[in-house]
Amino acid sequence: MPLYFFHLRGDRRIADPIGTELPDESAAHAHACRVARELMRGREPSTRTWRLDVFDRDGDFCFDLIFASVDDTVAYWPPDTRNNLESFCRNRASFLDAVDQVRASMLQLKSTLGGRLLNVASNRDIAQAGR
Amino acid sequence: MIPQSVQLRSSGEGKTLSHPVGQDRAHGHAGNRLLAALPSDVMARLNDDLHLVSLASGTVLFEPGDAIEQVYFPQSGLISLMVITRDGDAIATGTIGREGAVGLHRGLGKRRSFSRATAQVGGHVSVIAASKFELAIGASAAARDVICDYTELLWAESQQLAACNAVHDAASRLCRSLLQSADRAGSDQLPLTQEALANALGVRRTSVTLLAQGLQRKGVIRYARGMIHILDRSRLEACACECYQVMKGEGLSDAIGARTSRR
Repeated sequence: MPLYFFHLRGDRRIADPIGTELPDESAAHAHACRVARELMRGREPSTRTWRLDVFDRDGDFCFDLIFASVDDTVAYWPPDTRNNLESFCRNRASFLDAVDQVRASMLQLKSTLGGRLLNVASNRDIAQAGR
Repeated sequence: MIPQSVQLRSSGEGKTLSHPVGQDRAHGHAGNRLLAALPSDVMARLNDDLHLVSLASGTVLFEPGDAIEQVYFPQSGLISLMVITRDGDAIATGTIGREGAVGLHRGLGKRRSFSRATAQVGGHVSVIAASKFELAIGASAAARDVICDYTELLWAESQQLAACNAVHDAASRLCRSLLQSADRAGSDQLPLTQEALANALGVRRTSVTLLAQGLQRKGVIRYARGMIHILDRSRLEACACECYQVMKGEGLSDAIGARTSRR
């Protein structure tokens, strides 16, 4: 049976290291909806911007699920308002992704620069030791 | 009529389990707080009929509807009470450790089990044949009071849990459940699988995985090979819902003014 991983994109990223065997992608979608509802219940306002990113066994992206799309506490809202909420949550999640990417590249840059500086420093040390 | 998977051992011969039994042999069966609360004359009558038994994790003590033929007093480990749904899902509705007993109300007369009782965490249990227990209890009004008090406590706990399950989020319920399990098992290292926790909370295993990963990242717990280590108790308490404090220690018996706590 196919294996699916349900990674959580909340305030931080939390990986699902175990995964769950499910017959197909529609079963995986149903599973994601239930997990989202379980994680959200009782704290909807602070979690409806969260998202589940679902990947298959090979690490290929299958789909994502914004919690707001299964938030029953706003089920009575007019469809337009719900759509607005969903797109707001989706945008916020992508914004957080972008922030993460910037942070990751900053880290990379820092380590590259740090390595260069270290090299410069050690060259100078060698030069001084040689004197 | 001990279940087949249960090995009878006389007191003191209990094999060393993978986690500490923590029982003081000098006190015999009194490591269980309910047995310790029984009047000494009743305890003297029960002593010869109580046997210390080792329960492997997963051992089923009762299925729903089973006649209660034995009364179990955990010395270590955890017993889960589970309601079985029509689909066959087992939802844990209560856990019992060394502060309690399984089938205790059988002391008042013949009863059948409402839920499935399973050893969630293996350990040692003092067991007595129900008929002998009933005889000894029948002779003592004080012992019947202990049973009534405990039954009231379970009733209060069920009400608290019903409210908790209705309104509190899964993350704070997981923390509450971990703290209660640790208190009842008497250890901050719990051999609990994520499946067992999912059953206890009535959620998918994936949800428990994600919640436990979150707690692990915060340094509150460590999860490895089916073993949960509580690393930071005060932060775990801060993450738990208020129900932990309400049900903790003498909290419930104080709240209802039950006599057991005053003994």
